[in-house]
Amino acid sequence: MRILNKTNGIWMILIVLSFGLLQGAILLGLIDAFYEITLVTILINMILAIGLNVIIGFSGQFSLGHAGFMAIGAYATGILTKQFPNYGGMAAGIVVGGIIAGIVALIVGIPTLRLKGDYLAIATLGVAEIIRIIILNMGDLTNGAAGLSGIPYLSTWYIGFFLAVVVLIFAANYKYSSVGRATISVREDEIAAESLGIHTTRYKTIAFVMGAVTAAIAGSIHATYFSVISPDQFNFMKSIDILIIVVFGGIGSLTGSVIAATVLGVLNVFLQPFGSFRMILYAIALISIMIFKPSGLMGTKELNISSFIRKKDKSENKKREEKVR
Amino acid sequence: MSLLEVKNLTKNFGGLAAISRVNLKLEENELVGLIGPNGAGKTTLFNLLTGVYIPSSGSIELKQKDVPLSLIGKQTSQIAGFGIARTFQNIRLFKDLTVLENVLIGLHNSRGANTFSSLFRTKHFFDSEELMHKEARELLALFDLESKEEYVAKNLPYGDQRRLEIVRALATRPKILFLDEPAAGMNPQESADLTKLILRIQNEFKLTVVLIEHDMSVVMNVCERIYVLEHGRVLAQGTPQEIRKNKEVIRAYLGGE
Amino acid sequence: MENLIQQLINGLSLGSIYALLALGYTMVYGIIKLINFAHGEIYMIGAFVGYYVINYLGVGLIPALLLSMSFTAVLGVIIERVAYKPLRKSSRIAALITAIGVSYLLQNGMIYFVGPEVRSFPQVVENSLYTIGSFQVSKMQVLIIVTTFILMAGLQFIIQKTKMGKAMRAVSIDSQAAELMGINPDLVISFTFFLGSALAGAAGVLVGMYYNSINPMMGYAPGLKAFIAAVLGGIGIVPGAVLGGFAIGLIEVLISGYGNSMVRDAVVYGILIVILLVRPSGILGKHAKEKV
Ligand SMILES: Nc1ncnc2c1ncn2[C@@H]1O[C@H](COP(=O)(O)OP(=O)(O)O)[C@@H](O)[C@H]1O
Ligand SMILES: [Mg+2]
Repeated sequence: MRILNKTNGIWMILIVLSFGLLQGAILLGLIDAFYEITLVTILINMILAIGLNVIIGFSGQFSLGHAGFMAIGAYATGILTKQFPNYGGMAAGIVVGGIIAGIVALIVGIPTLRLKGDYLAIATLGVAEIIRIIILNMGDLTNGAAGLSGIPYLSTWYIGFFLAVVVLIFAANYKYSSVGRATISVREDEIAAESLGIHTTRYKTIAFVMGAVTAAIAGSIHATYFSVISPDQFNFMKSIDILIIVVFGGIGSLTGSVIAATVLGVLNVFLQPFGSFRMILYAIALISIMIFKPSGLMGTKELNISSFIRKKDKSENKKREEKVR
Repeated sequence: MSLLEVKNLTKNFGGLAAISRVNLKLEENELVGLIGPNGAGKTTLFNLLTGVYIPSSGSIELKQKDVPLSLIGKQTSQIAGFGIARTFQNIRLFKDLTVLENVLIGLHNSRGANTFSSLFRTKHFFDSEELMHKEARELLALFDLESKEEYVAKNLPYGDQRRLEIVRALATRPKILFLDEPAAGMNPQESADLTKLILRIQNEFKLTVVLIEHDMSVVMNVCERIYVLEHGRVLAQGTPQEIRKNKEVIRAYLGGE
Repeated sequence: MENLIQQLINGLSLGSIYALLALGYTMVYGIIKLINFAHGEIYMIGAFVGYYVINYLGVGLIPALLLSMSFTAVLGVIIERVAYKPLRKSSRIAALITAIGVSYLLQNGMIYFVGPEVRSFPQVVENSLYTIGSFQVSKMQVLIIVTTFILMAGLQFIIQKTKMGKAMRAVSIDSQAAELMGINPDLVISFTFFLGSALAGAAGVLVGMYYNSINPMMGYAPGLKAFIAAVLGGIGIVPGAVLGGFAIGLIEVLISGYGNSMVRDAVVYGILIVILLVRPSGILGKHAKEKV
């Protein structure tokens, strides 16, 4: 099979290895119940950041409304699992949430994705707020501002890990395909892309819908892991938090998003003892990181495993590059 | 009918008529020169024909299976899909992508796997990737760029960037190719080589090529027909011999140099 | 009908606040294309400065306004120099994240140092009602509207008539060309933050008086609304910010006056999206197509 080439094999080993390490640490008690919450939060943020990166990093469209789509997934799953408190209910919640989020993204995406840059950002912000306000006003179904509680604890860190891996693989499959390249060409130069027959709105919309669906998946995990959800968990600040992970990791870099979600999650644990001083330190860290490393940890690059394998080719490549200059 | 017929095409920018009642016909497999002083409206004409700008008035019709198809109001991507490709006066490569990726994107519309098979890595995906890579490399080889496929486009020397842009346009399998000053910034040797290459691909791919070019010797030697634009109007058109003798052209353009 | 006029007056006073804030967003955006997310926090700080100088120095409204404006103006310049200037050449999104960082810093800094609780703003002006015919205007509303108009007139004068104002306009049209003509863009950018932050400080004091309550989180919602107002009017365009501010204020008041106030925000966002779809660059914005 062509899927089982060397690079993919190494990635697989890496994923299994990190799963083993986490499992070991939990069995040994190094990760206790409290740290497990951090772990799941990191995994949820990872899914959110990967999805937003598909929108911002691949298609170059600036969305500020990611939390709205997360809310759709969280509520769909919350409502369904309260009716059907089993894994069937959860699976249904993920599917229904994903479908609703995808449809909403499609409906708002097709007209708004024509907008440029900051105007699109504001339109998506508005859409997310409208989603939140609709949820606020859906009566008993969503229980208004108080939100839903008593959602069955169905998610475990296994599920979070599994779904994070699935989302990462799909995002990578997307990036390294012809549709992915077409999407990236929209980010690079819309007019040139159009001149090559690339229907730019279509690829922006595909990226936007993919981002929305993955955000809904993250919301589903959130609802069934924490058991309590309310509209204000999914406000503008939440969208900003996700954006921060994407920018910190490097816009366009999937491995960057994975690393950034982890680093920021761990940083949060270390700042915990500082109490209310924590947010001040977080803010200062954020400003300093942007001033000293504005392109994020990875820039647009990926952590490149195949380049470790093909060291030789790479040095050859360098040589050639010199010749060209 | 001709392959492409333009009638009374006009484009106003505010008070300026950048293109004014232009009539133009392109036949199959011919090489047409488009000349005129700076600001004459040559690039604007390309932008109108490729749907980048919307005409103020006039018609553009493309022969599709022997019936005329109006291009007015069509999007650039649709027009590209009908077989019209172009390069840009100010190079518009995907600068941060590799040479190969640039060409692969040109091939996407006709050869790319759909989203579903890409996400799920079906057999169709792998087949299509293989085919695309093969075709992209063949096209690059035509322009002697195959050894540079891994280079990031912005790191290429200027002449290579111009040529890569042509390769990328060719990847869409066009019937008509608009080249906006492809030799700009090249030295005479490079420019001569490029001219030969353009003639070659025009023959090999059975293309209609419209060439904007300032070097009169090139235009006079290779183009079968020439349009002369001035102040947005067609000042003259005809074979190189006719253009050479045209008094208007001599006054407005050739004489001025 | 009378009710409508009443609502218009209320909307006008709320709109004044949004307009003052939107001006700061739009001016900064016009010059350096940055969405200054910390602007709402500047306004919050302005309210707190007003609170402290009135309570502890015992000054009246006008000195409180002036002191607060000076403080926030200087604060705005410092923030620009320390946090934004190093990012002038970086991606816009990096600058945006920095602005969010500054916003977190100011908000949480205030929570840490003065506490998160709501404070009641000292009443420097007794709030009497004027009854004209069958509708009422509070003295506070008159004050807010009048102050806003004076500040806007001042701003208009600075932008149109002074050398600095002309430099601001030049930089916002083409900063490179402006620099070639001997304009120091750093100075102009600082001055822009100075003006915008001063207006935010004034808005803070006015809101403190109007709603009689302030807290460190108060900048978030109006900041967002004012930013939306700026976008609605056409971001980067000064009259657009004023128009957008009044529009949002009026819409909000009219909706909560006639309908469910819970849906108020949804309608505001809905209108925003519709306007953007019809006019992709805002009401007064010019749709600039890229030259190819
Ligand atoms: N997008 C645009 N907006 C305003 N004016 C334009 C635009 N594009 C081209 N023009 C004007 O149209 C005229 C023709 O320009 P152009 O087509 O680029 O000429 P050429 O390619 O022959 O040198 C010029 O005066 C140019 O300034
Ligand atoms: Mg030109």
